[in-house]
Amino acid sequence: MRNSEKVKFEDAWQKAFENAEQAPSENVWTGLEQGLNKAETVTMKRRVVFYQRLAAASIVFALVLGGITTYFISSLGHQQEVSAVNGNSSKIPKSDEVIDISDPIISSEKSNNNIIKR
Amino acid sequence: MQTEKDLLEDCIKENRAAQKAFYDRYCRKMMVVCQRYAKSTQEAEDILQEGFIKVFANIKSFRGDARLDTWMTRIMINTALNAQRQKLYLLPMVDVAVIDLREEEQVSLSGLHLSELISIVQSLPDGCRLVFNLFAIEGYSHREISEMLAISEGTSKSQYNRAKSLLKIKLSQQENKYEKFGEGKV
Repeated sequence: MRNSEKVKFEDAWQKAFENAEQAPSENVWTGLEQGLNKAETVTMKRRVVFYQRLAAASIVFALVLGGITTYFISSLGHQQEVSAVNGNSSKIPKSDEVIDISDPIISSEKSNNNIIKR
Repeated sequence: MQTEKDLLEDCIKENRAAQKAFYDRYCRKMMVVCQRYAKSTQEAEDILQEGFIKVFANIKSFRGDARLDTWMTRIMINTALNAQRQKLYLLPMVDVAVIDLREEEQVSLSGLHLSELISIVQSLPDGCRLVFNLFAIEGYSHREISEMLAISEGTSKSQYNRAKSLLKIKLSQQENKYEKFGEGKV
């Protein structure tokens, strides 16, 4: 061992392993691929469960929304019926309304009054 | 040959062919990292496999702040440490005052093959091997190592000192072997 080759202990080890390469056996990729497939299956299952839950939540939301809409439509229809009934009752003539003089009784009364005055 | 950026984008899309190309490009370098932390080649391959699964699972989070191989090395080291964490309670606690770290000691490794170096590192006891890798090769401080391994700074220093002594013995044995058989260093 020549002294000129000697370097600081840590530097020597760092340099020895710097950019060092060694091929692993083929089994590592086989095992890794199986691990990746397994991880993908788990991810897929999670996605399926997520979409199932999303679909279930969407159905519940749609049902709730439909129920609320039906309730409002039916209550609106009921209100219209009530207002329609109220609209008919308002057709009863009020005291200050103009009396139709074409009514024969009223017109005869009016003509009698005229005769008396004369 | 795809650029690193294109390969990354395809790996994010979980394209299996891209993942294989990515693995083929980096597996040899990462294998050496795993070999340094493991006790055997089989253990190193287990760490490598688990490490690459984590790499592909987290590849979206790689922002390009660090070099890709540096980012991957960190993942491999964490995987190796997690695999060996249960052995760490075996590390003996040593008083810091009795430790003598001679910083300026010098060594030559230029004549040794990579497989010999790996074999020497793997022959270290578990605690020594982890601390030696983290301090000497990765460049972490003893304080950082103590936090990473949940040990005291004194334990980290003493384990490193022990690793250094053991490695020197192994290297001199290797040198004697060459001299005995009359083989010159390559």
